[in-house]
Amino acid sequence: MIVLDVKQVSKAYGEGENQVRALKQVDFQMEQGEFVALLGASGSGKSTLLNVIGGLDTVTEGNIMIRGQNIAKLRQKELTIFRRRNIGFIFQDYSLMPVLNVYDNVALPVSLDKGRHIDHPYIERLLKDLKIWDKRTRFPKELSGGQQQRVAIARALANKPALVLADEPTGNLDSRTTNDVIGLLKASGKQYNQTILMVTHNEIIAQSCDRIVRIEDGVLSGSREGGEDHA
Amino acid sequence: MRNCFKLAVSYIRYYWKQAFILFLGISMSVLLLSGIASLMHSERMTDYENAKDEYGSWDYRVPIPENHKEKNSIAMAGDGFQVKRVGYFCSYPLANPQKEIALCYGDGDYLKLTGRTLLEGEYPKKAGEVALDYYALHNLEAEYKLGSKLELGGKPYRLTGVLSEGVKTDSNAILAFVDQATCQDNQGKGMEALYYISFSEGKDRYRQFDAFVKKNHINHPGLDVNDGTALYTGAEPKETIGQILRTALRLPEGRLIYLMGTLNNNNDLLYHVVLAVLFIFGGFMIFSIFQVIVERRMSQYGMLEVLGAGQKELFISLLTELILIFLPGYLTGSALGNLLARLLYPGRFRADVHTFAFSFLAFGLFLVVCCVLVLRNMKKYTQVEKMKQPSSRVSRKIRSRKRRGLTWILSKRFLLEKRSCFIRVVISLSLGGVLLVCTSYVADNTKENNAHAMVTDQGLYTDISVTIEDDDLGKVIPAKVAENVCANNKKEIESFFPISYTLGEIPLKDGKFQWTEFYPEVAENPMSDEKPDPEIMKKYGGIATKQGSNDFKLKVNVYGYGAAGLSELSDYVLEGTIKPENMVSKNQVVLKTLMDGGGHYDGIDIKPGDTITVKVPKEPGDRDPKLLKFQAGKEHYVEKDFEVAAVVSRCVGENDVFIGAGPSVVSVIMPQEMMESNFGISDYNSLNINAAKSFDSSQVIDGIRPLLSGLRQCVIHDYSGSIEKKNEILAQKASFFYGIGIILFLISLLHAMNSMKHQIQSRQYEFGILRAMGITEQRFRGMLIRQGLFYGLAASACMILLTIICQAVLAEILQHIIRYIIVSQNIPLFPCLIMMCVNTAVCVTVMLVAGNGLLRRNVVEELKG
Repeated sequence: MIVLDVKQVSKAYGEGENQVRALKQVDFQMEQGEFVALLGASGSGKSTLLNVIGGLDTVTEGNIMIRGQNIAKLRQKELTIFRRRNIGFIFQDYSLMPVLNVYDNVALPVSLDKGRHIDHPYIERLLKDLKIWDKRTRFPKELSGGQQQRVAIARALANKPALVLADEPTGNLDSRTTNDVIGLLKASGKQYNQTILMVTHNEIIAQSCDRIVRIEDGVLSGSREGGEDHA
Repeated sequence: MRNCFKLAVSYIRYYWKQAFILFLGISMSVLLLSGIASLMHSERMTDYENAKDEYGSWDYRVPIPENHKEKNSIAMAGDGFQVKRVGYFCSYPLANPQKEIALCYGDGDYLKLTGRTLLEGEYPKKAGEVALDYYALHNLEAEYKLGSKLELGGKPYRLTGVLSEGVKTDSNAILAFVDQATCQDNQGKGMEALYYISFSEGKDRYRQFDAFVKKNHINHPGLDVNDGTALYTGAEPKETIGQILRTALRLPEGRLIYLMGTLNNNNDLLYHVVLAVLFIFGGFMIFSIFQVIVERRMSQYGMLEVLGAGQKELFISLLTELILIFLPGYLTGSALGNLLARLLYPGRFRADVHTFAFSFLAFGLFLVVCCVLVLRNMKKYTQVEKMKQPSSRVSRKIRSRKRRGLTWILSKRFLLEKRSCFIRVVISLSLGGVLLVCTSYVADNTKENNAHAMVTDQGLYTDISVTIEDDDLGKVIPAKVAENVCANNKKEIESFFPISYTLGEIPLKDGKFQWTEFYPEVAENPMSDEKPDPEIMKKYGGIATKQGSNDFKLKVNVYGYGAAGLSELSDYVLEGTIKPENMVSKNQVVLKTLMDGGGHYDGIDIKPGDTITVKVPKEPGDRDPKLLKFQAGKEHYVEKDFEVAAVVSRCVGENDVFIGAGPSVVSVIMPQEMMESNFGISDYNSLNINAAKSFDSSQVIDGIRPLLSGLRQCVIHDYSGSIEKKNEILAQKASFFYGIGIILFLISLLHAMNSMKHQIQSRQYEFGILRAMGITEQRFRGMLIRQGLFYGLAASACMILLTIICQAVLAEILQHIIRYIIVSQNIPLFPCLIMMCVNTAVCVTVMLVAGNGLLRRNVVEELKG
């Protein structure tokens, strides 16, 4: 089942002579349960693509369908609610609420949705699976980078979203912790059948994903699946 | 150093909005300080000018010594003194059975020093010429026409000039100004000659006078000080702070009140305290705004430290920045403050130059302290950051298990995580409210007090007062005359309050008189060197007399009021109630008790329901010298018992001719019918009249003057001008207080808004996360409203608490140090409620405005910070 369908998406910043086209006619799709790496150098447009897919930024042209819903056509409020219910975010700097403990940080996206109950057994399972259950009453500042990123992963999965977007989730971590986090992310994806799109500039990390999509100067230059490059 | 200066200038230019907020904070703080200092200075100067208008601009009055034949022989300047003006005045009383009249001469300097100007005509130059003021014209029943004839002391005179009414004198005589030779012809026949002297301003008059009398060999006996202006001129020696402290420590009780009251009179305590409070308030605001600004740039200062800038360089950079903003801020604030003060005091504005210079230095020093404190905080902040430990006070409880929404917790923690910032905002918001509410409390009380003081202490009860100014109880305004005055001028008179009077005595036995040291004539251990008034002692044997170890008798003024007058006393009730309709049937009276220098009224232990015995002379016209000392035989007096209905602090239309009037004399007030039925007094001592709106007071006087002809020592006072002037001053004072309150509120508002905006902006990263997590704009705004409400409620709670404390302190100060007649003990609820609403509305608005600014930004930008 196709979870994400990006159709002819363009994104431009500025106007006239100063206009910068960050994304140019981008097209790609993701299937349910797929773990895709979006690989590119700095300034290639990978984070921009991730942000427009996540509804954090708007597109200049094109459509983004998530589970059949075109998010480019949604109004601000609808988009916010859609994002809350369907997309999980993992950021490079973890973006955890410093004033909330681990457990409450994970429960936060669900708690923002008035119509939904927090599934506490599910959160407990997530925290145990990510080996941070014993840290549940700690505050982010009291955790290591790897532990904080695990909390961010748990938070991204707490809503059981259609799509998890991870923006350089290991950018701030050492290599050992990077392996741990990627391993956990992959394992969680498998365990909960999550679709994960991860932005990275690290070829080795990208290799561990089901598929690699390359981006260069805002254009998808190709993707490799099972070791094969597709033009 | 040059680099630090460049850095400071660059910061100001780049962060011009922050610099502007600091500039506003400094300007407004200085505006407040300089404006209020100038207002208070102008107020004081106005009081001084008013006192000069009322009592004259002379400092001392001395009988002319035998060896001073010529005024020109006086040394006008010398070592330690500089005489500004010496006025010559001589007078001698005319033998007149009807009214006390004196023929007098005063030179030009005398006229200036006593506030007299020639309104019409010429000053008398030769025998047979006379100049009169309106008071004399009214009371001598002279024709208001230059050249008209009148008779004085059996001799004919021609009216050559009309003088303005002069300042208050301690003589009851009507003055008729004649030429110098006519007056001096009576030397040795009771003529009295005086010098009225005023010294140059600036230096203490007392020291100047001391040097002056030494130089001119003038003896002190018979010396008079102008008591009305002495408070401002220093014409009387002031106690040193050490002497005041020693006296205060000797007091058995009320030391603090004495200390504060005396320091206020001698050293302008209140003025200095107000300025100190404003300086602290302004300093707190400037420091807070500056700290918020520095906090916003904390990372940059950290970077500078990394690049090798030491504490010294940071200090110089911060101080330079502050000084560069402070200088224009100080000048702008001072200029605006004085401009505003000038608008409030258009006529008699005086800039307070001393405070301008002193506060410049004080603020300059404060800026250095600010920089040191901010640097210290910066250091602490960095250490905390390094430690990366959350506050141990933050609960580790998992809130999402019990609460579905976590935004409540987030709101609370966002607010309380930086407690110092939260406390700063709450305090500044509440301070603004407290100051506004308290100034409104003081303004209302001042307005109320001044209005009451005008009719009681200053005797401006009605537009016109017709009084018998003679210490002979037999001289009265017959009831028939009073009736005619009222009946013949129905149209011109709006209200009419006749008051009857007699002197009385009440016994206070078994310790009922508690202030045994109050009257110097009975004090065993007098606290000061105050001597009994020789005239009171001579005529009445003292106000208080001791009968036994615990028994005293007090001379009292006994008044008969109409129902309207009695009702007016309700404003001054300390205990009990006044129901004029019940007083006659229940044989009740009202007792006006004593007030001491601390505004206390517990000198006499008489309560409503107690019985007092009032003794008054049976035959008012009796000239027995023992009569008014209450030492004549029993048969000369009437004694009656009355029930006390109420104890009051003041009464209206007082008679100060006998034992005096005011807070140091006890009075017994009863309905007019009771005066008649108990003591047989049906005639009046004074008629108090308010003119109808469409009539001028002089028209009323013209109407009543013929009806009063032939009444001995009956004089007419026109107070309408004074009342109008006082009301104008009252309105000025009220606007002064409200103006202060509003400026204070605006300053604290500016600071609170700046701090709250900073707090929201410093949370943009967290808000970015929340938005990324999917909080809707509506919910986000709800969260901000909640935070705004929390701020508003916390500020309101803090404001109410501080208001309760401040109100209690202010009530004490107003009642016991400034000695207001009536001090409301209630917290001003309405202003409090308004301020609570304003505070809350401001907090919510600031939060929403700052939050909207964040919402306009892209979530990604917010997450990047």
